[in-house]
Amino acid sequence: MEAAARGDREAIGAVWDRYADLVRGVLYGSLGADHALEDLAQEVFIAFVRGAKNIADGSVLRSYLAGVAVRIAALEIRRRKVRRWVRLSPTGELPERPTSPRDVEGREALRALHRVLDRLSTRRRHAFVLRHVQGLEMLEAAAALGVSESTLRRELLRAREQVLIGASREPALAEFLRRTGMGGA
Amino acid sequence: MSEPQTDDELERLAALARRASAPDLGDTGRRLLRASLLARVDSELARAADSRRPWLWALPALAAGVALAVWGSHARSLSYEVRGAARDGAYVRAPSDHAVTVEFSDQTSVLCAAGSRLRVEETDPRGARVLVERGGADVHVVHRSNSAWTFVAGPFEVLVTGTRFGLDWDPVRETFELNLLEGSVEIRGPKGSGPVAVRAGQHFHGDALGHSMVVSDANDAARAAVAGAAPPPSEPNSALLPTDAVAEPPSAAPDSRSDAPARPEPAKTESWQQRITRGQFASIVAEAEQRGVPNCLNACSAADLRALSDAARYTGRAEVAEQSLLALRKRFAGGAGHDAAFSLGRLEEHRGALAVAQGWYDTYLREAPSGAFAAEALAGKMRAVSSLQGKPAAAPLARDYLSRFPKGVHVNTAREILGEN
Repeated sequence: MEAAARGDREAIGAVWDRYADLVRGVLYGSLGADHALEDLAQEVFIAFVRGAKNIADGSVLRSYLAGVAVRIAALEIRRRKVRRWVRLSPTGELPERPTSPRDVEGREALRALHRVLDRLSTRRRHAFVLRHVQGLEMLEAAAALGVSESTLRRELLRAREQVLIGASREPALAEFLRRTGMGGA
Repeated sequence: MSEPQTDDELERLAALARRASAPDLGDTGRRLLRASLLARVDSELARAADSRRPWLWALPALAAGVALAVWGSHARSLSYEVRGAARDGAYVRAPSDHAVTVEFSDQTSVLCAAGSRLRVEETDPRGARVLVERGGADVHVVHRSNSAWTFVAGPFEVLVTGTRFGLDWDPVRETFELNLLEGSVEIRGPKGSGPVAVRAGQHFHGDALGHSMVVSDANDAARAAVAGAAPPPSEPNSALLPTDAVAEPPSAAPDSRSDAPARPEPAKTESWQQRITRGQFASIVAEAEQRGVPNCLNACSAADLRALSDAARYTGRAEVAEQSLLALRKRFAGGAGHDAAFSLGRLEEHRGALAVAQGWYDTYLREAPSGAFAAEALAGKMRAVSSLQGKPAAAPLARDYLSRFPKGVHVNTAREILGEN
């Protein structure tokens, strides 16, 4: 941390190597496929470089970077006045990506999951993404969101309820759950 | 349809979300992005070093400064009076039907236009810090050897020692205008960008959303405003500078956005991205040409370059579109640069330069094999090869397309190449 705070390129590069996927994952979870994704990821690391001297404990770096990514994503969402999640290209369509036949069904389920998650509040969606999609620990996710652990628990509980109820009302998701519950991938 | 209720089901939904992870960068992409970040870190550190350096040169003057500070602590801060409206703490609110004057004890005066609002944040013996929340003001700062005034409008900060100027801040459009009548000022933009020096007879136009700061001859700016166009002309003495700002919402009170003062409408209203969505393609190209296309190619944000390339393409200005896309390639590694390769392929294909188009599609597929335009790039390459070398040569590409994008919109073309239709 001290080396990064001094502007040591090797240290900053090492932080990038280790956490770039996490940061990009959080941004992608918030904004979806987006032209600005890599630019915003860079903003997150620049914010880290600027604030590195204030981070006393390197063990909090993961939640710190996730938190900065959440805030930058939230600002971007506010700026654009659009709410998107895993999915949409700037034109509003799912970008075509390499698929297997099974993935074609997955895309439909993914669209449905997007619709469900898009109905969550921004904070609740971020809570879901950090905890369940990115796999952050409770304390890490709470720190990233700037809320207490108990608040995060409440958000996750409500997110769980909303996601499961929403999924039950989406035929593609119901089919996805039925299929995967039978031992499918 | 059964109702999902278990944690196991939630985990499977989360796993579904994880499958749609951010596009894989690949080794090349990772290296490019890492290098891009480190280059920017270098730039930030150099800027920080520049800002610290004056202190080294100023060390000999430190003793005098300390003495001045001691004197200053005993000197009285400037006082001020508000004429034309009741004083309300630090706020100065000009009614909608007449201007208000703020007179400081050093003879400096600020004439607030009708409907404007500002706040005198702090005063000291050498000057004051004045926050312009909205509207316009004519400022006359009386020069003294140690005077130091700061006027702040959104992310723009004007540093003044002695001068006369008019300013205008629109918090809704986040645009800042300054006409300098006497002396000189320095203006810092969002996130510490600048400073930009503005001299007597010059006009400054700052656009926090458009990420630009432009200094031009005041007469040209006035003519452009009268003509209803954006103020920055393409005069040789113009300077188009990026503000390098993340366009964060302003910290001004929300209600300041909903009650704009009565005054002439600023020329620029929306970002280029917003105007693209409104179909205002020709005006975007015209504005870029007015500023000077080379200036934009060197200084505009990635978003503006993308908007300009789209607008130029839609209006048949292929050369401007090509320049914009090449600038994106040159200046922005990663997503924006990769996508520009695909767009260049499209552009060349429409021009009929199929071999060149094939090269750009190849570039995109190499740099972003799983990118958002992978299907379109592969289809474009398939079309180009089919036209240039015949269907047998394109057959492997067609098979690849059908394998990777079995539901893609170019399935019929691929099957036709394979003779399956």
